[in-house]
Amino acid sequence: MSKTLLIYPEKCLGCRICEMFCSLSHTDTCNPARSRVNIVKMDLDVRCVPMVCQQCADPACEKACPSGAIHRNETTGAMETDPEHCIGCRMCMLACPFGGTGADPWEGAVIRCDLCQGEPKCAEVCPYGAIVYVDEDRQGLHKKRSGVERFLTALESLSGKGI
Amino acid sequence: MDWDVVVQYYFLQVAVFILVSGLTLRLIIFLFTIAKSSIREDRKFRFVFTALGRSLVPFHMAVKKRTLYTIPRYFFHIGLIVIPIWYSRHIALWETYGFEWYWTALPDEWIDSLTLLVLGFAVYFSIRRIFSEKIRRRSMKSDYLVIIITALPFLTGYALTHGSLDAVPFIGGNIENIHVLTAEAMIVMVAFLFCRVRLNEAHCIGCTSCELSCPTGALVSNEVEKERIFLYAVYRCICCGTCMITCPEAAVEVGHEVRMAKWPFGSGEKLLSVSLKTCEKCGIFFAPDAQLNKLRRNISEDYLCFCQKCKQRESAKKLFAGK
Repeated sequence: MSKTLLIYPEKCLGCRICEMFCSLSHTDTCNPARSRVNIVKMDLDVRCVPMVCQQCADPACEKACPSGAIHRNETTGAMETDPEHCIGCRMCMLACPFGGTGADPWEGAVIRCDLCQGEPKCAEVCPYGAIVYVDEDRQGLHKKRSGVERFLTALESLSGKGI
Repeated sequence: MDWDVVVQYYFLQVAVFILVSGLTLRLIIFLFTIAKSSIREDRKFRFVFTALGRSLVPFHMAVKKRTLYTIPRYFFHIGLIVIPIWYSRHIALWETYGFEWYWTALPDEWIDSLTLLVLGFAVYFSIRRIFSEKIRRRSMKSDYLVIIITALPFLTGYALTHGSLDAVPFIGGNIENIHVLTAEAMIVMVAFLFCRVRLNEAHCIGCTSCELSCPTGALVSNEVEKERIFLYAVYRCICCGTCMITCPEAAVEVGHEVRMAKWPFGSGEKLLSVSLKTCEKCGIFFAPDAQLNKLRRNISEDYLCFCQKCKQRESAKKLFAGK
């Protein structure tokens, strides 16, 4: 069963701990610029969303790659770049609709989330549960559950007003 | 004054001195620049030498990509080295110069056919350069000169052994001196012969993968406002052809160039400039036009005109809205 990273944007506080640990586990440096996950802050830094490779079912990066370096890891389901064949042309970066593929400013190589070989560090360290690692078919269930939670809080606040 | 002694003894010494000192100086400068360069530590010397070794053996991607272009060149260059060194009469010459060096010579028939092969390829290269419109447009005078200077000693040597030019008035009598003179010209030329990498304007999409693959940092790109400029430092180039192997568009060409001025420092000279496209949201220059156009042939979506940051921002907004 392949699992995937699920993001709860409303839970993210923008602490960038995931960026630090991602960079540390992949490159042995604490450099957010070399991280595979990026916190995007919007509206004067009130709303923040962790953006990471979505591991699309029909990936544009695989289609765009001229050297065939991108392929899916069958065990984790992550789209992985083969460093032997990657020539660093940035075609996948331009093709990605989410901006999930980045370039390492030190090495110039292309970097993308590889789900840490099945144990994603970002999901492990996130203190607020904004990134969780779930089964792909349970993704809908998780969304439903969070919807129900919000519905219940709304109901509670309404019932507190005595309706 | 005896011309035979001057040409065959003194001139030869000068030519060999120029060759040895020139190559040594170039090696020293090259090693110095590599040691000083900003290439990552782990890929520095190991990568340089594997790249250099790979270029000497014809089993790599460049051969697969452009077979007709590379295979004749390998044979041509093998001939250039094998014929002068393993020819029986040349080996016999060592004794006349007072050295006690001997090695087994190749059969004369082999050398003969190899010489004809080299001359045939030289003719093929010149015809290709003269008659192909595309190649002629980017050729320089020195390109023709290199072929002529390289072919002449082999032509005169063939005439010398077979006596085919003996009937011609002046040349017939002095064919040996002419052969040695042309050979000396070639030896001197080698000291001034540099590799030149060219990017084909029509094919290059400006993706900078050649820059990333270059083991010595000879090929670099700079982004100046709306243009990405490719610079090439000739004294760092080791002619390994990694850029040619890497290029996804087969836009890189590696060739020779005789360079007398500015020797051996030719600081980064401009090879090509590619125009960049602006992001439609934030207005920064982010990717070459040609690369985006190539991508559009595969994927036709409107998000292609946004830069990395804007794409992330857009999809983050969507994710937030659809929670």
